[in-house]
Amino acid sequence: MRLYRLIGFLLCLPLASCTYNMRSLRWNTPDDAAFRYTFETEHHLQTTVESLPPGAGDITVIAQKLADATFSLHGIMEKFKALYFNDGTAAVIVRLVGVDGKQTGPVEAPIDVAGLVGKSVAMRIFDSGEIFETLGYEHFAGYGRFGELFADLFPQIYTRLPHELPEVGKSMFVRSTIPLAIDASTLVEQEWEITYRREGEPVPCELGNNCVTLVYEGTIRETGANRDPRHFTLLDGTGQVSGTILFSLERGDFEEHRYSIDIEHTLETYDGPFDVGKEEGQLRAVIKQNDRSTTVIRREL
Amino acid sequence: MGTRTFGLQRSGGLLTALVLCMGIPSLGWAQHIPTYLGEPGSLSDRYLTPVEVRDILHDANGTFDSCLQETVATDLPGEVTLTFAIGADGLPKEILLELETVEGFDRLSDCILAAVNEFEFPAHDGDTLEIAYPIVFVNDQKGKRTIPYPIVFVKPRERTLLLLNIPPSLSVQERERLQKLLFP
Repeated sequence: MRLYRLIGFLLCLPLASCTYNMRSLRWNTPDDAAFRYTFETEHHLQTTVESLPPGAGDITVIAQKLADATFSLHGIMEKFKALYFNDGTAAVIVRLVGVDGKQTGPVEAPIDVAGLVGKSVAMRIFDSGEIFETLGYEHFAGYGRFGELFADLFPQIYTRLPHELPEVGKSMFVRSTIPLAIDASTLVEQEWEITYRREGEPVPCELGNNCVTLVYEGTIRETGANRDPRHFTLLDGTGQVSGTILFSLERGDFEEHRYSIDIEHTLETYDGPFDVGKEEGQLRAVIKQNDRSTTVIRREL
Repeated sequence: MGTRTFGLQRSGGLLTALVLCMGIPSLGWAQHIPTYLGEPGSLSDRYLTPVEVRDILHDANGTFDSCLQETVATDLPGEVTLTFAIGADGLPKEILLELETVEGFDRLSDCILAAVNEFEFPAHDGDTLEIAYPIVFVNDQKGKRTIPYPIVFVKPRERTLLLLNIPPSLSVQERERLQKLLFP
């Protein structure tokens, strides 16, 4: 009899262990369904040319045009789960269904973002929101596309969540890395260190009866490089982020996610030949760009 | 490795069988599970790569060869360049055949253009791809035949000033000047 009890205990032990290790706060993207989100985002960019190669000449006009620019974008994106991998991650496709934008501020001009409609980014994610791999930014990037303005938008569909719901009055720290693979030679990685706290008890929202407001703030450390020898560029950035997520515990998704990012990117370009292994080269130019953005993403019901 | 498997089966054969029976359907028996996002043909591969286009063109080499055998009177070797575009729907358009060796290849055009018109590439989320593919005819000891060209040429998209948001108020000349200042 004791032997049977022991066997029963041993059989149940892994299950108990699994249950103990399961996250209580996770994203849930049901299969065979697409979900739509509206977004509004505004980026205020201040760009300064710190140094240029000797003999660059007068670039006052270019510097003035670069100095201050504000972009407003709004649109619709949809997400759906494409497949599961053997390691428990899932591939989620986030596609721009519609987008419109303009440059505001001292210079007002429409910006042509119609070419981005229909383009998608695939993200390989854990249900915590940890992003393992991204694909498709290549089709957003480059001059005249304004795709760089979307760099933070797609990953924020799955902001990294804490392991469990923080108790009221307590905070939970989360660190995550967002890999933004632009193309075969260009990779940018953002390391987010954010602290979550919860505001109040769960309340009903339009997504269900159990919705909690999660407030987070923290820092972003960014590193990246374009290792194409013709356009060798190193990217370095630091910034702050804060946001509020109205999260439905039943649906495993947010009803609304508002966030602000204030980040300064430093781009250094180099003269060739550049030794990629040793990271050695002759510095050619340095440009700094401060990007202050506010974004709100709402799930369509 | 083999001994360990045998040991498991011996000590808990029923449980192992149960776990396997439960696990196999969820893993998708006999299905290939992709290992990365961009694995060609996977559901997460939303963009068409030159390799995928090349594979489809190589599969069509037999059709190209039939066209050659049926329409080309000369035994001389030659090369024609096929150009076409692939839209988001995966259908080829703007199909053209540039005849570099014109003599004896006049009737080839219609046959190849008709064949390419039937192609179906995977639908994709990217820009229209502009493709150029040489179709090479040889006449050697194996006879007159078409050989698959190892690569396809895809018109690259200009992606300057990567990683930097540039306001549209910058004119083309100003942007080009900035590009030249930043990069050698």
